[in-house]
Amino acid sequence: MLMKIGLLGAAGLIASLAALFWLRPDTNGGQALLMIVVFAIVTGVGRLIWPTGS
Amino acid sequence: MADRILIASRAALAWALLPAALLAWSAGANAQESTRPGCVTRYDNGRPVVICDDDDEHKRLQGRRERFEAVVPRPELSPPVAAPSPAPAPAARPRFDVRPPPPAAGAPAGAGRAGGGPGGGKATTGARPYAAPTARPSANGAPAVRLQAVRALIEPKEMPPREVAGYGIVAFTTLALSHDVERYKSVCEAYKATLMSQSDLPPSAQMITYWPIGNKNTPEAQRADCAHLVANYAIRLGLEAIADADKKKEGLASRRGPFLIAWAPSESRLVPDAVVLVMDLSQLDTQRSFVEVFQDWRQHITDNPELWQRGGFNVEAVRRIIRDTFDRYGDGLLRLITSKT
Repeated sequence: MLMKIGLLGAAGLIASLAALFWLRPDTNGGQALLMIVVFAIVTGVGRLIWPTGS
Repeated sequence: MADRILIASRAALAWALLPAALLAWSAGANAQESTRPGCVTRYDNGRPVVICDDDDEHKRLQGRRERFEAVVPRPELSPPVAAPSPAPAPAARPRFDVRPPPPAAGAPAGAGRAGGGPGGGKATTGARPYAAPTARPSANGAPAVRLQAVRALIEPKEMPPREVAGYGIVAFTTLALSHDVERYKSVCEAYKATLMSQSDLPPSAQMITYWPIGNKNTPEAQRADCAHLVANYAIRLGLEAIADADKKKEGLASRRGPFLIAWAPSESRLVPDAVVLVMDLSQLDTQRSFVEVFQDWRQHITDNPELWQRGGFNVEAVRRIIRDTFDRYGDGLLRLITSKT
C-alpha cells in the first residue's frame, strides 16, 4: 500500500511540475495553486482508478 | 453502508466535475480557434460555412464575392518587387515600388485579390496605390503581397479608414472603470510594444490595427501615452466593430473583452460573408498574456488574410486562459492568507 501511495505521490509531483513548466504562471500564488490543484487531481483520480485501501 | 454510498457519490461527482471544469476552461478559447488546414470559415448571412478547397459552397460564395466586388471598387496592390519590371528601379528605396500597377486588359473585376497575386490590378480613382515591401510565394505558387502590421489611432469621424489594405480594431466593451484601468493599460502597453507605429514606416501594404480615440491630435495621443489612450477611448467605434464582427450572434458585446477584430480587405466589413479575424481577450489578465496575444495577432494579420481561420481548438489560447486563471485566484488566495497571518 505504501508503494502505491508513493507512486501516486510521485505521479502527482511530476504532473504538477509538468503543468508548472507548461503554464508558467507569473505569480507565486498562481504557481502554488496550480501545483496543489494538479497534485490533488492526479492523486485523487489515481486513487479512484487504483484504490490504495483505507 | 452510508459510508459506501457517500464514497461512491464522491467518486462519481469527481468524475463529473473534472471534464466539466476542463470544458469551462477551454470554452473561453472559442474565438481563437482554428479549423483544419486547407479550410476556412466564412459567413453566409451570419451562418458559418467551413470551406475546403474543392467545395461547391466555396464556389458559390466566391461568385457572390466577385459580384460584390464588381459593384464596390477597392484599391489594389501594386505588383510585388519579385515580378520583372521593364523600368530600372530608382536608387532610393529600391524595395518599394509605389507606381500604380498597369491595368490588366480584359481582367474581370476583382480578379486580382490582395494576397492572390498580380494580374488583376485595377486603378481606383482617388486611392493611393500600395507598395509591396516584400514578396513571397503563396500556396498556389503565385507571388503574394506581404502585409505589414502597424498601429495607429483613429477618430470616429475617420471611420471607415481608406487607402489601407486591411484594418483591425482594439475593441473594448466598456470604458475603463477604476478597477479595470490597470488591465486596460496593460492591453495598451502590449499593443504599443508589439506593433510598429504607422508613422515609422514608408507607405506600404499595411494592415493597421487602430486604437479608437476621441481626438488623436493632442500631445498625449501623439506620444501614445497609455493613460491618455485608455481615458479617451472612443467606445462607439469599439462597440460597432464588435457588433459587425458578431456574425453568429454570440453576444460578444456582453463579454468582458477586449477583442481584436480585423477585416481584409478594408471595405469587406459590411459584406455578410467577409472573413473576419476575432481574438477574444476576455479571459486574460496579465501583461505577458496580452503581449503573447498581440504577437499572435501580428502573425495572423500579416499571413494571407484568405487563410484566416476561426473555429476549432487552439491549445495556446487554452494555456493562456488556464495560466491567467491560476494567477488571478492564486494571487488572491495568497494575499488573503498573508493578510490573515
